[in-house]
Amino acid sequence: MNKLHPLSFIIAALWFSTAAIFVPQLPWLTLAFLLCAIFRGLLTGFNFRLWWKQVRKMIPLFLAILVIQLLFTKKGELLWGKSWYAIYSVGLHRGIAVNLRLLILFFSAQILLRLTYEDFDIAFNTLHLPEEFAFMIFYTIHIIPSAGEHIQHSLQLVKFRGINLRKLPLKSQLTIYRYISLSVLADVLSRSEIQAIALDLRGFRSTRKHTHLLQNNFSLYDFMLYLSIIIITLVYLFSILA
Amino acid sequence: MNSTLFQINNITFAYPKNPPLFQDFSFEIKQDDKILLYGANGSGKSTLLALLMGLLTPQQGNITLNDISVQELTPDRYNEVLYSRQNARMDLFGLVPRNDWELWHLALPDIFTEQSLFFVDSDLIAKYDTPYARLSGGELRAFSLLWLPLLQDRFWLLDEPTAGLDAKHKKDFVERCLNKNERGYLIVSHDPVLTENLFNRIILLEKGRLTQIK
Repeated sequence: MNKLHPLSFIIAALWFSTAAIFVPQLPWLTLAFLLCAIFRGLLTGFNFRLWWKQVRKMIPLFLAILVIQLLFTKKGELLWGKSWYAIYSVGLHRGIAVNLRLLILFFSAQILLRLTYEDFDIAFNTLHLPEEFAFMIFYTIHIIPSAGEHIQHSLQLVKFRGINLRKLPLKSQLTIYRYISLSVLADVLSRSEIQAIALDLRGFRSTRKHTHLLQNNFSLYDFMLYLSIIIITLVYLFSILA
Repeated sequence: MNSTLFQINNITFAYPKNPPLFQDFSFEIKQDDKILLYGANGSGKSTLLALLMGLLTPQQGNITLNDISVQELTPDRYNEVLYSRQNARMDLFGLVPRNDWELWHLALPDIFTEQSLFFVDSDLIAKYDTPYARLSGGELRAFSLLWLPLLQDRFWLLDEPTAGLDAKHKKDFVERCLNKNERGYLIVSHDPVLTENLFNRIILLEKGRLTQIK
């Protein structure tokens, strides 16, 4: 799986996330989720303990979405209960669908996060797109994880000073969180400035034709992936149009 | 007083997809130990400090701080140790040095009083509200070591503390080490300014093994 061209990873992640957003049918969404999970597994290994660790934090969100949909969508067939706590088929369907969409988007993001800046450079160069695209997209994708790391590090500093955040008065807690969020923002801006200067120093805005040190050729695996994407998309389109 | 502070018991640690850096490794650090740890680049000195602080978890064995596993330490247990990393920016909290002082003030309000700021030398206090991104590596390091005199009662774990410091700040740091009489320190360094008389143990870390030189 790691033999795939970087552009194939981007296309696969885009395909999965497009399916997550536009496909309304639960069986097709389930299929998209399974394919996305298999693709991610082939890429990063089927380490289900790690997957669980990553998804565990999102469970309260999933449950909240499910409960809201179950309680507030009063359409379709009555499945269980009565009056305000009645559960209808459409509510259950929507609750599961939204959770599947979130999981697909999360797994797609995980696929993209594995790509380095060089991978984006190779991928966009294949499409003859300017290097600025690779820079901006790479930077945007990595903002959230890098901000997350910065927050974790700041909280670690608080712990190492011997401060138990939970025992602090609310005002002090808010002060600490304010400093952390400001430093995260400053860090993101400062790093993007440095990255942009680094790119400028490479002369990427030069109008002459660029040469690229990093080149990747498409392999049979890439064509198999594209063929699978096309076949599944066509089957889906026929099924909804039929 | 000279009881065990850190105890490393038969740990094995390896970074993913790498051979073990430490295998069946044991080491004891006492409260009053003044240790210099040195070794080649990549020998695992910084990793050892990260393991002591619970930032990394050994695959086998365990590490305790005052008989409590470092993986189970509550924030108040860290009151006994001061950890400074190789990258000084990572020791500093917030956006500007003032935020860092404010965090110390929250942790130790009786020690980090407004008067504590009078001890800071004028060059540094002039940059007290300067964002870290605008400070040099040496200035960041000086700020990260600024409060050592107020943290005498903690055991210092310092990773390359003199890297990037000018001669004046190095001299100040050596004086701080000489004057430290409550609890000891473990310093990772190759700087010749840190002379033998500052330490009661000098240890070479090589291929996951410790050799006591002094």
